[in-house]
Parts: sequence; C-alpha cells; structure tokens
Amino acid sequence: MSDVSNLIGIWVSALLTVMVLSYLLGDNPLYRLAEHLFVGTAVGYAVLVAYYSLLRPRLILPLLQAPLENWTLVVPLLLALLLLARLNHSWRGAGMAPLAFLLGVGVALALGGALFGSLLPQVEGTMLSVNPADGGWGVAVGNLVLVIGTVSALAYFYFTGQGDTGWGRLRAGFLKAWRGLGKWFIMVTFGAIFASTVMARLSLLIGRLQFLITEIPKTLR
Amino acid sequence: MKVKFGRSLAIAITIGTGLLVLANFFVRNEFLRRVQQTLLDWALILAAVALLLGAVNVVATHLRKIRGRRPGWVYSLFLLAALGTVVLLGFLDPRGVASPAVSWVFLYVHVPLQATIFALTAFFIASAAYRAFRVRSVDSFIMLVAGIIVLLGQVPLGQAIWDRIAAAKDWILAYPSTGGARGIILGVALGTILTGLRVLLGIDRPHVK
Repeated sequence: MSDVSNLIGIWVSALLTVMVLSYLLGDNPLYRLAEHLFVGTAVGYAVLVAYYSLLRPRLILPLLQAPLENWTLVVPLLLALLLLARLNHSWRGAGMAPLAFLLGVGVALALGGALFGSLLPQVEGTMLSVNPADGGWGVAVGNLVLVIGTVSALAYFYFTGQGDTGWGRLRAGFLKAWRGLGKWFIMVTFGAIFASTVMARLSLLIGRLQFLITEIPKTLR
Repeated sequence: MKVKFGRSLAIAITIGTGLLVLANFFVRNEFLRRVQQTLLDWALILAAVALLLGAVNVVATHLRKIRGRRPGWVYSLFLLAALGTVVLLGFLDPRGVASPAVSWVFLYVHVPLQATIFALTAFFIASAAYRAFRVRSVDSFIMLVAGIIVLLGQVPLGQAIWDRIAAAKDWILAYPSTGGARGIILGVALGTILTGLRVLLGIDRPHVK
C-alpha cells in the first residue's frame, strides 16, 4: 500500500476510533454511525470470505471446470437452492431439508467433539497424583484442590437426588454439601475469568489510545 | 400428508447424516472416512450459502427501514453503503478478500472499529465489577478475592503491594480456577452429548415445525 493510502487509512481509523469512544458521553449519532459502518463492513467481509474461501473453490469452480468428475456436488447445489428458497414465504418448507442436513452434521460433530475433545481429555487431565513423593507437597495439595474443585463443580450441575428415605436424605445432604463447595470453586473461576477479561479489554483500550497518541502526530510531521 | 412426509424426510436426513458423521469417530474405516469428508464438505458449502442468506436478510431488513423512513433509516443507508462497497471491491478484483482495496478497508475501517468497540466494554466492565463484587454473600466474597488477586497479579501495582501476589495468581489459575472451569466444561460436554443424542434419536426436532 502506498504512503498516501496509509496516511488516509490512519486518519480514517483515528476518526472511527474517536466516533466509537464518543459513546462514553452518551448515545449519539456519531457512535451509531460507526456502529452501522462496523456491521456493514463485517457483513460485506463475511460475504466475500464465504464466496472466495468456500463457494468458489469448493462448488462453483469444480462444477464449471470438471462437471462429470465432480457430479456429486449437484447434491449440495440442490440443497443450497432449497435453502435459498426460504427467501420466498411460499417455498419456506422446502428449506427444511438443507437445515436438517446441517443440523445432522453439526450435531454429530458437536457430539463427537464434546466426547473426544472435551469429556475424555478433561477426565484424563483430572487423574492427577496427590502423592507428595511425585512432585512435592505444593503440587500434591494443588492437585487435590483441582480434583475436589472439578468433582464439586460438576456436582453443582447435578439437580436430582432428593429422597424421602433415610438413605435418600443422607445422599441428598451429601450432594448439597458438594454443590455448595462446587459453587465456591465456580465463583473462583468466574472471578479469575472476569479479571482476565478486564485485563484484555484494558489492553485493547490502551492500544487504541496509544494509536491515537502516537500515530496521528507521526502523520503531521 | 405432504407436510407430514416433508417432516419425516427432514428427520430421516438429520438422523442419517448425523449417524454417518458420528460413526467415523468410533470406527476406523476408509469408506466411512470418505463419506464423512464428503458430508463435511457439503455442510461447509451449505453453511456458506446460509451466511449469504443472512446477508440478504440484513440487506432486506435495512432496505425496508429506508423505504419506510423508520427512525434511524439514515444509518441503514450507511450500513448498506459500507456493505455494498466491501462486496463490490471484493468482486471487482479476482483476488477477492486478498485484494489491496478490501485489505485496506479491513485494516483501517473494520479492525479499528472492532478493537474500539471491544475496548469500550472496559468501562462497562468496570461498572459491572462494582455490582458483581459488592460483598453481599460468601459467594461474592470468594469471587471478589479471586478476581482481585488475578487482576493485581498481572500489574506492577500488585507486586508493589505484595511481592508474592504473582505466585498467588498463578496458583489460583493453575488449581482452584482450573478445577472449577473443568467442572463447568465437563457439565457442558455431558449436556452437549445428551442434547446431541436426543436430536440424533429423533426425540428433539428443533428444525421441524
């Protein structure tokens, strides 16, 4: 990019930054304009990514260049047309098939991902040694805290277990105690996540202010 | 009768494709792997078309707003202008997203807008922190202590107040916070598996009306 386009770019981004920051004074037309420009560019960019990264290389070009070799792509093409038919109210029902397809694939991926990407690795990661001989007392106590935290936080999401019999009441009381402990661990997690989010957002704010303070004077030299 | 057949077909498609994709997680088979890959490619194409459909919906909504001269219609005009400009710049150049004009818009319009909108939340998070961290119960006290230690453990001010605060922050993040987060992740994973199974077994049919 040339120096002139860079210069214009820096001024445009500075102007947009100030327009967004003007929201601190209250809702105003400048902020709303910036907000709408943001949505406009985001949607436009998403359209281009969808076309150039997915539709063109995976559907349009293979069908145009070698239609006989890629005849199976007729299926997603047909499903895509049915999906587009949802734009017309009288054809809305036709869009059920591509949605059903997307849901089937999406649910299977989510299920497989949850099982092999979350559940099993997290369970494996929780099987930690609490023997001080393995890594010292600090690590052993820490691991014990981690295991208790995991089990109790999981128990917090266990909503059944009430009972009328003596054994049932004992079980319910035990679960209630675990749930209480789990709630505290979840609170620690929320506090840590909140603090990390505050730091991330502050870093962004410092970055934007630094941009305004350092880049604009450079363009005036 | 037609509607009933359409619903049954939709449920059959969901269950059929879902089980085929899921089978590949459990069975090592070259044919199944190829079937899953084909279905995933088709799903990607459909997701892209669904995204285009969403963009068309955005355009239609704002066009209606402009035509009806509804409050804020001028902003809709700018939104459509921005959207149209980016799309036009991308289609005029065969390089598309990688074209210099689109890159310029992304770098000097989209990135600063996104970064500043997220930066703006720092102020609102501060006021939310006041409400969340007000000590009204043991729970909020625990959250306050954890939050303050993690926050101060990352800045020089914290080090000046207590030289072991960084170590305390690391310990909180490594053990109790990880324990709590792991419990939440396991709960979410179990919930996802159950919901997924309900859809794949045809018990839940969110897409069929």
